[in-house]
Amino acid sequence: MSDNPNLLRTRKQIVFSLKLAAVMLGGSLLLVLARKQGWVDAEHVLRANNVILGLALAAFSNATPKMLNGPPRSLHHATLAQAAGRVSGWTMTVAFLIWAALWAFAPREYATILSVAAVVASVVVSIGYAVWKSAACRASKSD
Amino acid sequence: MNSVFKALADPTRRKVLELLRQRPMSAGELSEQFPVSRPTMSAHFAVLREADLIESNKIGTSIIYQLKLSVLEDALLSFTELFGIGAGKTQPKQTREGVDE
Repeated sequence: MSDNPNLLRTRKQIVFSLKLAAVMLGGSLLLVLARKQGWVDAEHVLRANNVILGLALAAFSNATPKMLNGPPRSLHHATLAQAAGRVSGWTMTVAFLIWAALWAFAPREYATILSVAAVVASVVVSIGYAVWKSAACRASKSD
Repeated sequence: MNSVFKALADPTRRKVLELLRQRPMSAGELSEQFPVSRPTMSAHFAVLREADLIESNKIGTSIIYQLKLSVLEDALLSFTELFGIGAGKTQPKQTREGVDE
């Protein structure tokens, strides 16, 4: 209907996010159904749910550096946005892959703690890098 | 995905992506790094844009190119660089001045 590239991009991102949500909800429903039929136990449902969640969020994080690129106000802004987007995309993707792997293979007590620790660490690294890069950009701009 | 592989198959385009990893650059800044004409570079930029690996934005009077790589595409770029796929076709470090001489 419209050839506006921003609108097309936004529509593409929304469709991608809805597909991921459908995969997560569909997976959960199938697991609940399998549990009610007695094919799997509660432990397997919990683990499989977390693996699906981890993989879906890793797929979303993989695409975030592509989604964050809006029109920049200045070259400094573009440099900062690109660097922060790349680092947060990488850290979040790796963290959610670790989440999925831990819930698939690790003992439950380790999976519960370490999966959350991986995601928290990735958030800390992403925010820390963005703050550091922002300060470095500001310092180089004032020189 | 086919257009991504096509874009990454050329060493000049990979070098452009590597330069853009450092920071966003103008078309002029990028072209200066390669011993090829500006129309050729424009064709390379068009292939990268078509593959959705870079995007151009107007800042002031300049057109600035910046990366638009997903994590997977970023890893793929590193992988192709690591194994030197298609290496030796161009000499990206040579400048335009060097060619003119």
